[in-house]
Amino acid sequence: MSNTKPSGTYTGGTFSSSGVPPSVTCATVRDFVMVAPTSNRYKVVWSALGDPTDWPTPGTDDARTKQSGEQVFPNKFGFVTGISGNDFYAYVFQERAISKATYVGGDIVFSFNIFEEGRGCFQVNRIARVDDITFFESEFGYHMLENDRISDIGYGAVDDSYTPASEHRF
Amino acid sequence: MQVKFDFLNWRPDAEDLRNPGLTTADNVIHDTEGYKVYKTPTAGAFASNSSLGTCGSVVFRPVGTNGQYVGAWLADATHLGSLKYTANFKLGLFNSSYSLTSTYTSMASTTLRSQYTLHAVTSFEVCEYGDLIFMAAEAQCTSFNTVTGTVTLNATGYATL
Repeated sequence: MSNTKPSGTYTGGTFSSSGVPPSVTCATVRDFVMVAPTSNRYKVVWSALGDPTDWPTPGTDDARTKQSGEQVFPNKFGFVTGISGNDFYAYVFQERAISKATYVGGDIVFSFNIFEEGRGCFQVNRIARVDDITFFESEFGYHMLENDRISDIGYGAVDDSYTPASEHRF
Repeated sequence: MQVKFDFLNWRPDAEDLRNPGLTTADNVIHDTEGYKVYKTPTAGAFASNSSLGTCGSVVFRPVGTNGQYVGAWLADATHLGSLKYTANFKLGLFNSSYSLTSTYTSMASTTLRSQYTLHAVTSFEVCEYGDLIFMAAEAQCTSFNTVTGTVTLNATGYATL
């Protein structure tokens, strides 16, 4: 069992947690900050457009006006474990799937499409972004994601030794 | 699609027998292609930073363009006796002079166990939006209360560079 203690205090003149959902990961996507809240591990939430210090309650008129919102993913693919964003779109990683979030504006704001089922980010934040390339570790090995295409970069080299399926995992 | 990355002669997945390379590579760190020799620091100086408190686990990452960095750490351990203690989980922003400029504390109000325990920052992610730095971090600790088991401490917030 586990419990979470998200409440806190802050010192210093510029630090704040006001309104931001306690989260396991975060990313900048276009004019938003998108996070994966601890309150629901199958969901992402994004801030108000152009103001990542503003986090209206999703579904309210205030949120719709500011294009803030949330998206829940199928739980059969596991928890949301990572978000990789850039100025145009984002990839949302679950343990066994990857979705692409494309900005469409309006009441929908982001359109989410699952384009990979099977490979995902098997543990929170086991991803690294370099320019528009995202490297991630699935339960099968190491992969590279670029332009919606996934390449297996560890196959035949290090996957057997350093992935969750390995007996030699360090 | 498969892409071959160059790991030089480090071939951990190849069988030991007739392996043309090495299954283990000691005293090296990763490089752009393959690896390079890890050099032990022999010059320079270390200084203590008392503003961190007594730390159990730390994670840091550089941010911005002026030598600043952010971190998450378990700190301020207070021994309560009988294997019990409390600690705080903190996020901080440091300037290029290693001074702590801002701190967020997620209080560990649950009493923790000081032996046979897991006390570690298990997740730390940072993103930048203009001059704002967002941080989302979690730490896992073992509760003194065996019914509770693991305590997850979360600290999420933002600071201005």
